[in-house]
Amino acid sequence: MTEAPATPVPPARPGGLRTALLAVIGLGLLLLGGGLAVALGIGQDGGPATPTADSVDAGFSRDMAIHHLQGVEMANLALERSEDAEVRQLAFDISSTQTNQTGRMQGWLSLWGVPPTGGERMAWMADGHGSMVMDGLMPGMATEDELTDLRGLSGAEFDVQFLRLMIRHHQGGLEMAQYADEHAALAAVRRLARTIAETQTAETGTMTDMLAARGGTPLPAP
Amino acid sequence: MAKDRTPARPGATGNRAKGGRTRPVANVVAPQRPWGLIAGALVVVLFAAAVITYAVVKVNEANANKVESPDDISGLQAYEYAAGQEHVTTPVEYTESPPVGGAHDAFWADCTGTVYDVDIRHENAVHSLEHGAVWVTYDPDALSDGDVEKLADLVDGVSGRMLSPYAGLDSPISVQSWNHQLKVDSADDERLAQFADLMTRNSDFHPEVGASCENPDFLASPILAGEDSAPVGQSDMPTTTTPGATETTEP
Repeated sequence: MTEAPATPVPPARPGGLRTALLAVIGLGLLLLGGGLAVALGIGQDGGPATPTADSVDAGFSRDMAIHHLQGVEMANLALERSEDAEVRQLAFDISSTQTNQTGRMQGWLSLWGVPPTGGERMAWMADGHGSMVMDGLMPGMATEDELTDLRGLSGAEFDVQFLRLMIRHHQGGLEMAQYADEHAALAAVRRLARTIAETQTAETGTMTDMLAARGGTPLPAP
Repeated sequence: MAKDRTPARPGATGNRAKGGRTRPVANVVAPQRPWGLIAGALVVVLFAAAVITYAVVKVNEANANKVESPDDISGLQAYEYAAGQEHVTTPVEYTESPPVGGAHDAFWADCTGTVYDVDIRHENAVHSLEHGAVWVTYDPDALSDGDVEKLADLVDGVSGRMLSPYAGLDSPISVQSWNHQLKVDSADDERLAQFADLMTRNSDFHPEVGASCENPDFLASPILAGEDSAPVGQSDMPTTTTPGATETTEP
């Protein structure tokens, strides 16, 4: 038998072209893969870590919201009771601003899964600031007796007592705000804390002038 | 790849008749193009090009006219008035005109998307800036009614903004927020809307984050530039509505 079966003939190999084409395909797939990764957000971390319940961010948001809400309560009472235009304007400013800020802080807590109550007041501040909490009240907060007393006043007497309590309330919250401005992890939290520290300091000055103009004397600072 | 196999040409098979084993005939013929690979490469390249073009177009669209910081607005001037400015009942000599910060009246001007047709008292307006308002001012002698209408469209109904004529303005239009100011010549300048969108109640740039713009009594009877301070706000005194402030777009 002389007729050998036809041996498979290897394909012609224009080697350079083939390699180039494979390289193009490889590169193209690589680009596609990279594009998809970017589009799907693979490899990005989820931004800053969510603050935990014992963090400065969460502790400040929870405790300042609680502190603010008593300020709102007193301011709303002044809006109802006071007959002094300047006191009423101040009260409206405090009520609307602190209600807004409380909403911001409680919104953050909701996103972080941290309850707006519970925990130990001011334990998030280093060096035993928790011991400044008396009967559950943070510095500057009015006692239930003081609030009852305020509700019983009217006219100029009300205005003076309201200013005295609100000055002390602002002074009491200052240290928390300054601490959070320095130690919170998230920029938005630091920013709000600084805002509170700066504007309440100014407002304390304004109220001290208003109190003096109405013949009142300040309470001892907390 | 089997399809690419090159068939032996008659001339090449001539040896078979002589009984010799056929040898591979590679490279004997002109090489055939690897059509499969070419098509594959073409598809991949076209697809990748389409994806990348789409991505570039989308990113450009998203960035078009995008303003993320005051620095992105050309001509914007920044100032550094500290938070916590004093409340005063006396007139204030402001360095900037219109003012962009400093001491101010205890009663803020209503800035709930308010279109004033009077030159409101500057000391009250600065308090609104402290609350996060964008205050648009114009030289009434330099603008047509139509131009004022365009400015009113930017302000009307958007809480956190207010518009008023301003006597002695050194440019046809000036828009300001706390510590920021932009002066432009035309009501059609796109930077006006960019400024207003960026700065209205922007908590990065004004002192009293979360403060209100409401002052219905000031809205009803605004105090005019040059007038004395007066407690116009949360008062028990009944106030009568006077012409001067409207929430319509009437210039």
